Amino acid sequence: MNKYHRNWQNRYFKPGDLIIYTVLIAIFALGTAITVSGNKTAASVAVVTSDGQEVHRVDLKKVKAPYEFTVELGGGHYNTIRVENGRIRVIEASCPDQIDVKQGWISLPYQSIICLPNRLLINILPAQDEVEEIDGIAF
Amino acid sequence: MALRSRRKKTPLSVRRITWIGVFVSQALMLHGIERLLPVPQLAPGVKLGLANIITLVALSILPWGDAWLILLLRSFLGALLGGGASSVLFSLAGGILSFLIMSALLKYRHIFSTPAISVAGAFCHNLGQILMAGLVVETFNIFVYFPILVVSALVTGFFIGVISDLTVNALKRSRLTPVADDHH
Repeated sequence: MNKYHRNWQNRYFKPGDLIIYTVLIAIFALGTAITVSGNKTAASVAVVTSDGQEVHRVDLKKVKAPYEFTVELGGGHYNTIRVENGRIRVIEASCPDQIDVKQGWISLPYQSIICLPNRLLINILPAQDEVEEIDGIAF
Repeated sequence: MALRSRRKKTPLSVRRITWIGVFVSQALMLHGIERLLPVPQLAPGVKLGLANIITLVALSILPWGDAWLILLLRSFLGALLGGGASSVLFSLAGGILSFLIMSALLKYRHIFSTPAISVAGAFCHNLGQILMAGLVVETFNIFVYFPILVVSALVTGFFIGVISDLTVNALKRSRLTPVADDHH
């Protein structure tokens, strides 16, 4: 071992690091607290929005049989969405980055799937927020 | 101030231009390699961030302005190579935020270790992308992603930080760096 490996404790940990790690753990706790409090609601409603227009709305907890549907934007752009009991995902999309497909299933309130190229948005709202209408989406 | 005066003393030599070019091409290559790796997309913006090695190394051995230039060049060229216009927005939002926090923390590198700086940078990179998503799509709750962002930043950031640290040491020993080793 040369001299660059010997003092690895000092190289990879210095006192100030504690500040950084503490801040991150606080952010972790904050996010967890907000997510858990949102998850207590009985229902979760998935809202699918395409180019600012709501195209589909379903209470995920009440889905009996899985189903799929395709949202077309025109110009050959599309997203195919699969809905199962309690969860929703994009299974196929025309966008180049495929971020929405790779993201997989979402099931918790406040989770979102966003496909920027196709201007598609899937939001899960907790039950009490269901009355809260989305005014519009700016791109 | 110290940074600015050092930059003035360093002429835009062929060596510096070469370093900028080498770093930009390496960042693009790392970006390409990362796209090939089958890493699951846990949340928008969460990724390995291999190209962050370049930002960290460039900040450590090049003048501040050069590292800045490298960041901008790789964001735009990365979009040309694959991704598109929306990826420039995301890439820049994450890149600029992480660049600012890492350059600020690097001034105090006697109390912060390189992996910790890298972890902070990784979190800010992901945070920048999530914030951009929040800007683009108004009804978007970013808090739900905080836990996963923190965990992924800790794991990938530490890994990236150790690699960067070893790279900087190797480069310094090679005596090829354009700026004299002064602040360590």
